[in-house]
Amino acid sequence: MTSSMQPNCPRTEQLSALIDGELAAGAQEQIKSHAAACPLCGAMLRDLTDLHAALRPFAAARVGFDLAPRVEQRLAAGRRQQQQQRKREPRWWQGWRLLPSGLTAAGMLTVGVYLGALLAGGAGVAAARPAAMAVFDPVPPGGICVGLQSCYPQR
Amino acid sequence: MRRQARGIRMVQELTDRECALLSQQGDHAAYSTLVRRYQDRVYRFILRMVGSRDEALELAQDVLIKAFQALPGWRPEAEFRTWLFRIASNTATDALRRRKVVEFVALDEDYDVPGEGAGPEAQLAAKQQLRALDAALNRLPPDHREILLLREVEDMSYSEIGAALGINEGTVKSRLARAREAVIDHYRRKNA
Repeated sequence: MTSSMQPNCPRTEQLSALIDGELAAGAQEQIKSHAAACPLCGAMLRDLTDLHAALRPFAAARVGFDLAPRVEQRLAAGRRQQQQQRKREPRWWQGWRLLPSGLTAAGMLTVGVYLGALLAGGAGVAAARPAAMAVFDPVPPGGICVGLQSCYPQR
Repeated sequence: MRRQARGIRMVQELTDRECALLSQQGDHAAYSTLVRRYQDRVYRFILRMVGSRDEALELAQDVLIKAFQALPGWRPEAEFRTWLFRIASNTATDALRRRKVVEFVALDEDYDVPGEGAGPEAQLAAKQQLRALDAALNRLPPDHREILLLREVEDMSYSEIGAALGINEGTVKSRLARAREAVIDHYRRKNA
């Protein structure tokens, strides 16, 4: 609502919606009859209607030629560029990308468990050990057990 | 879909939705139809947003290329026109953001002044009025200018404008009224 409008005047928002046909039927009639009686709202409504008509010539701007071949040309150039980029990529890398990540993770886990078991000297891993390393064994050469007393009969 | 639509009618006779669906399947003729249908609307919207004819032409092509690339994400529930104008609005906003100073070109023969039968004085007056309106329009903030253009030039409803700009109808209504009021005020002051 402009400053010169009366308190019971509709806001410019309502007048603007009226010329766009965006008001409910009831509100439309109410505002129309108010504008017919109120010189300020009537003038505002005329200005809004005039503006609507005055802006119509802006719709006359034209490109002036067919843009479709240009757009198609640019799209085709983009497609060619993408194809060339794909060709430049090494094949092994493309193959690697196709590997399921789960399979890769499982492989890495297996290798990790195997290496861990080797370091811990686990029983499940049968690794060949050189004879020279026998002096470091917890079981003395010729011995049967490491620590069980039953292995060493009491005298 | 493609066989049915293309077999019965020429591609030019298809609706936007049908053309967009065919374009999604890689039908370039269908997309060219959409380009021809919308090139002027996208161009004139961007022209009045950025103010330069060359830039508007370049950006209009960018919009149509972006739209084709984004088509896999378009859903038939969305109206193609409002979806396209959303891309156009974002493109124009980005272009305005990139530069600090906006220089608008003066109106030229692109615009038909009303009344071929009118005398030269009336034509001159009409042209001057249009120039004054153009200057008033260019003074608006971009978010108000685009709403006014979509309503007055593209004849979109409030719900369509809301969908195109990603705002609710209440915001469209209030922003549009403010934009109109500002243009009228500016025009009045210049012609007082």
